[in-house]
Amino acid sequence: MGAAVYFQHIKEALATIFDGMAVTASHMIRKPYTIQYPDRIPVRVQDTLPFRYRGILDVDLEICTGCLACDRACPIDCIAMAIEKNAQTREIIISQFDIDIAKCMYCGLCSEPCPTGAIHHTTEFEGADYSLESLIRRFIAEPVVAYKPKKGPEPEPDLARLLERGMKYVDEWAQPGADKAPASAAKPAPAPKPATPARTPATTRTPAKPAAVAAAKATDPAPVTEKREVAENTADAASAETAINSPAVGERNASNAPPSAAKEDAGKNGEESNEGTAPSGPKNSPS
Amino acid sequence: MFGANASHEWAVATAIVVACVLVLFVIAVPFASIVTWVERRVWARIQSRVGPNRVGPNGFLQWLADGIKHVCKEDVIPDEADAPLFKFAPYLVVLAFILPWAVMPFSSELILADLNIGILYMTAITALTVVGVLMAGWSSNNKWSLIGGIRSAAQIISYEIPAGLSIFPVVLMTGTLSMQGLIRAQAWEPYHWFIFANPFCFAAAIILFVSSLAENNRTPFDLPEAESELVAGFATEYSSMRYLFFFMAEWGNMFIAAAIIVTLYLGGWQVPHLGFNLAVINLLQFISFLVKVLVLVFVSMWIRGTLPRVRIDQMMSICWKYFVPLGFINMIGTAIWVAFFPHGNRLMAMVMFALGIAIVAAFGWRVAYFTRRSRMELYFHPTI
Repeated sequence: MGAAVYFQHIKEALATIFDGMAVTASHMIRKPYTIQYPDRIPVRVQDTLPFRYRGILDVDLEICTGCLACDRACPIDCIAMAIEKNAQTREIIISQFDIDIAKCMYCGLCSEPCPTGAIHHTTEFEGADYSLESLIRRFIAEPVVAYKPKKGPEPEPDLARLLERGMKYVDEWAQPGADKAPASAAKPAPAPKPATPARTPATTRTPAKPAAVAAAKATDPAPVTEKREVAENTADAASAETAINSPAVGERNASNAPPSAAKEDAGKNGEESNEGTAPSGPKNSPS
Repeated sequence: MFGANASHEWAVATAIVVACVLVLFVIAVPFASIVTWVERRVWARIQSRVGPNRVGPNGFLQWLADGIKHVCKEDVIPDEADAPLFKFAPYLVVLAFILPWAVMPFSSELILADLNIGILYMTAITALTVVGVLMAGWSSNNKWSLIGGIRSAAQIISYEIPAGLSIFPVVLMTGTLSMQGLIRAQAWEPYHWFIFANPFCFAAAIILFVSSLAENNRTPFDLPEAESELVAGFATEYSSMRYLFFFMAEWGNMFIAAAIIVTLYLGGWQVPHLGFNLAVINLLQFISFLVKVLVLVFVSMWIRGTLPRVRIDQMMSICWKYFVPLGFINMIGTAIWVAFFPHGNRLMAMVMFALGIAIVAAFGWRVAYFTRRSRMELYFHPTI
C-alpha cells in the first residue's frame, strides 16, 4: 500500500462520513412519516385511504343482480350465495349472501367481475371481534328480489347514487387513470368517461364516443394537476394501482371493445397515467 | 491544624463531598437511563420515525418503564454457567462506570478528588470494563457470549493505544495529568481550547473521539454485541437487573468518554469571568461542562444512526494501520511544536479555529443541500 493510497483512504473515510452525517442531519429536521394510528391524527385513517383500497368487503344489495359472478370468482369460497329463479316473472330471488370476513384474503377478484359494482371493498379495515362467528357478514335477513338492469338511466335517485358509485368501481378496472379525472362531478359539459348513471350496467362495455374522448383530452389536464396537489398520496396510490392492473386492462379493452375504441382509450390513458402502463394495452392485445 | 478556620474548612469539604455524591446520583445513574430514551428519539428522527412517546410527556418516562420491567423479570442463571463469576461480572462493569466519576471535573470546586494523576486514573479505570465483559463472556458458557467477550477484549485493548496516544499531546503541552490542571490551562474562548492549539491536536481529538466510541462498543464498532451475528454478545445469557447493569454501564460510559474529550480538548468547565459569587460561578461552570458533554453524546448517537457496523478486520485495520501511526505522528508533532512554541502559537490557534468554523459551515451548507433536494417539509420540533 503506497502512501498515496493510504492518505486517499483517510480522505475518503472523512469525506464520506461527513456527507453521511449531513444526510442524517437533514433527516433529523424533517417531519416524521409516522401516522400515529389510532390516535393523534386529525382525520380517521379510513378517510385518508384511496378509493380503491381493499378493505373489508361490503355489498350494496339494492343493486345486486344475483349473477353469482363473485361467488364463482372467489378463490377461497368465502362468499356463500343462494338464489332462486321465479319462472313466471323471470325474477331472481336472493335468499343468502354471506361473506366470511375471517376467510377473506382481500384479493379483489370478486369485485372485478361484478357487473354493477354491488360487491366492493371499503376503506374499513378494523375488523376485530370477539368470536369467529360474528365475522361472517350476513347481508340478507329475508329473501330479496335481485336488481334488474334497465335500459337507459336509473330513475330512482337512491339506486342511481349507488349505481354511480358501483360503476365507478367497475370502470376503474377497465380504465386506468379514470379516477384521476373527477370531471363528471366538476363539469356539466360532455362526460369524459362513461361511468355515469346513464350507462347501462351490462358486461359488455359501450365504447366512449370519439367526441367525448376529445373533450376529455381537452378538459383533463387541469383537474388532474389540481387533484395531485390536493391529495397527492391518494393520487399516487391510485396510479400505482392502475399501473399494476394495466395488463388486465389491455385484455379487457381488446376483448370487449372495437379495436379503434381500444386504441382511442389507450391513447387517452397514455396521457393520463404514467408512461409505460398504457402502451402495453394495444401492443399486447391480439387486435 | 486546629485553628479558627478548621471547622469552616471541614464544613466546605463536607459540602463538596455531599454535592458530588448528589451529582453522582442525580446525574450519573439517571443519565445512563435517560440517555436511552434520548437515543431512541434521536435515532427515530434520523429514520423519519417518531420514537417512544407514550410513557409520560413525550415518552420521557420510557426509561423508568424499561427499568421497572427489567427489575421485575426473573434473574436467570444458566445451569452450566460458572455462577459466582456470572453473578460478579456485571458489578465489575458497573464499578468501571462508577469509579471515574471520582475525578469528574464538573466545575472549579465540584470535584470529588482532584488527583494529580486524574487523566491516567480515568483511562486505567475505564479499561476495567474489559475484565467484566470478558468474565461475563467466559462464565456464561455460551459460544456467542464467549465470542462477544473476546471481541470486546480485543477491541478495547487495541483502542486503548490510540486513545492513550491522543491524550499525550495535551499532557505534553500542559505538563500535568490533573483534570483541573488540564482545564485551567485552557480558557473559555474556543481558540484557547486545545483542539485548536495546532493541527496535531485537532487530529488527536478526532482520533480520541473515534477510539472512545470503539472502547464503549458503540456503533460502528459494536461488534461485541452485534445483534445479527452474536445474539447479544457477552450479555446473551443475562437477564433482569444484571442485563440492565451492562447497558447502564455502556450508556454511562458515553458520558465519561465525552467528559474526557471535553476536559482535554474543549475547555472543560471554563466560563467567562463575570464576577458573580462562587456558587453562581460554579453553577455556570457546571452547565458549561454539561452542555459540552451532552453535545458530544448527541454526536455519538448521531453517528450510531448514520454509520453501519464495520467488519472485525476493518475495525482492527482502522486501529493498527491508521490510528496508531497517526497517534504517534500527533504525539511527536506536538512535542516538536511545544519545543518551538512553549506557550502556544496564537496565530495557528486562530487559523485552526477559523478552519473549525469553516468545517461547521460547510457541513451546514451540505445539510441544507440535502434538505432542499428532498423537498420535504421542514420540522424543527425536537419532540412530537
